[in-house]
Amino acid sequence: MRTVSLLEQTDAMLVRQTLCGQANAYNTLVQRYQRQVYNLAYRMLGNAEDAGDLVQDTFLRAYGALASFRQDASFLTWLYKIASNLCIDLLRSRKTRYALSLDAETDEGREPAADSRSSAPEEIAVRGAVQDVVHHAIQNLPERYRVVVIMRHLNDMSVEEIAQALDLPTGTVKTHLFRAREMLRGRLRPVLEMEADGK
Amino acid sequence: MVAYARYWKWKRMENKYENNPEERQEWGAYATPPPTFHLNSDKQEVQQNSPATLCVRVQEMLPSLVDNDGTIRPEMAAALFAHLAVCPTCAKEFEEMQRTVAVLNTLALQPLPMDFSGVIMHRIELEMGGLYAKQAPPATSPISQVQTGESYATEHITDFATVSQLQHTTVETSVTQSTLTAWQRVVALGAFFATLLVFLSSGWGRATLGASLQTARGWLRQIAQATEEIPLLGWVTGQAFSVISQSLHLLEETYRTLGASAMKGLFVDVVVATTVIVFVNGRKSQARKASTGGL
Ligand SMILES: [Zn+2]
Repeated sequence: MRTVSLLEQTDAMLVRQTLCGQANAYNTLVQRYQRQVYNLAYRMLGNAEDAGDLVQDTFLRAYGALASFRQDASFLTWLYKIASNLCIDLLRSRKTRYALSLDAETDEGREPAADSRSSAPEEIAVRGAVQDVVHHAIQNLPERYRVVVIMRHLNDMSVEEIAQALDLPTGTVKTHLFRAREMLRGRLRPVLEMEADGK
Repeated sequence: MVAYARYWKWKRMENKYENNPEERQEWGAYATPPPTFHLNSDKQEVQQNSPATLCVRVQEMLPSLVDNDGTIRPEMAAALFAHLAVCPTCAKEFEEMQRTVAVLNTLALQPLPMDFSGVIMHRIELEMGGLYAKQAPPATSPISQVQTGESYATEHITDFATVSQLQHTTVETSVTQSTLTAWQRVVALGAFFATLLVFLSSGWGRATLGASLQTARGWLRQIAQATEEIPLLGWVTGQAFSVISQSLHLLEETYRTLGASAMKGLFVDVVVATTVIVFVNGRKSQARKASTGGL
């Protein structure tokens, strides 16, 4: 607990220094949190290139809005808020483009592409990439479910922090999280069975 | 994998009950229900409700139980575990949920493909340079923090230069960085004074200086003569040039007449200048330390 509050104090200090025109203070903040933001973006968007662009956009936008950052809040949660909004915007524009170019079905709940690849447990074991399967299963969740799963299980945020970052009531976050897990349970069945056999 | 999942579960519990060890102990006791709890707390409910309704209620609470999100009290958890011990349907549901969470928790943070800080700082400088005016640490009065655009710009640019330098040596605190540049400044100034000292203490150096000053004076005199032909403005310019030329003449005389005593005098100057710079920089870094809360 104590380490967390100390860390936040340091973030607030760096923010204040940045606002006073010390560029290397912001550089420290970027270096401190770029990995977390990158990972959120990578799991949301599905590829490294878009994730890299999103990291840049997130820190640029955060810099521009730094004066509006409440100093008593968590800087990382604030960054997650900006990053997740940018991710969702990008995913929506992607979807529109997809709809315009292919006139295809754009329903969020469409059958995941990963399922066709992962049928038998042996196949997965051969590929040796449980993470890969999980990654693809997450990619095929609707955005609002995807973001809570990533924040909870990858970024290790609490339900309260997620609620703060997404501007949602905690109850809604919980519901989204449970629904997302239900969907994943079906899609990850081969992996889950393998896990059970592994015991 | 299983050990990893257990670790995560343990970690969450640690966090959740960190402030209340008593509660944590209770939870630990209920996590593996002893036989005495067997259906005891649920028996009345089972009689009141049909088993199907009970299972629906239990299954509604299972996600919170899996997540250990703090909404389920230890007593209720005990009751739920007691139900799971006798109901294979709910037990299977619970186990699958647990396994899903465990698999999701195996997602690891990917390493960064590159350090984005350089690109980000560069883009900030290009697209938003000067958004936050360079100011003194907040300890001083707000009026003294305002600076002109030009001085801000130059300092800003040097700041970015040091930032890009620092990217290669990442583990460097700002304090050591500032003392480093302070020392660099002292060394540069010292070198400058030393060169001047050597130059002036040698007869050849003084002669060269004197000669070049004389040449410059000659040019100035020529320009002054040429411009004096022009009415009014020319006369003013001519006068100004001859004043500069006269002062150069004075300088030239000084350099020529400087003897061995120059050596001592300049040495004292260098020592005084160095001391002043070191003192001022020491004060500055102390003030910075104080403003950053002693870190
Ligand atoms: Zn049941």
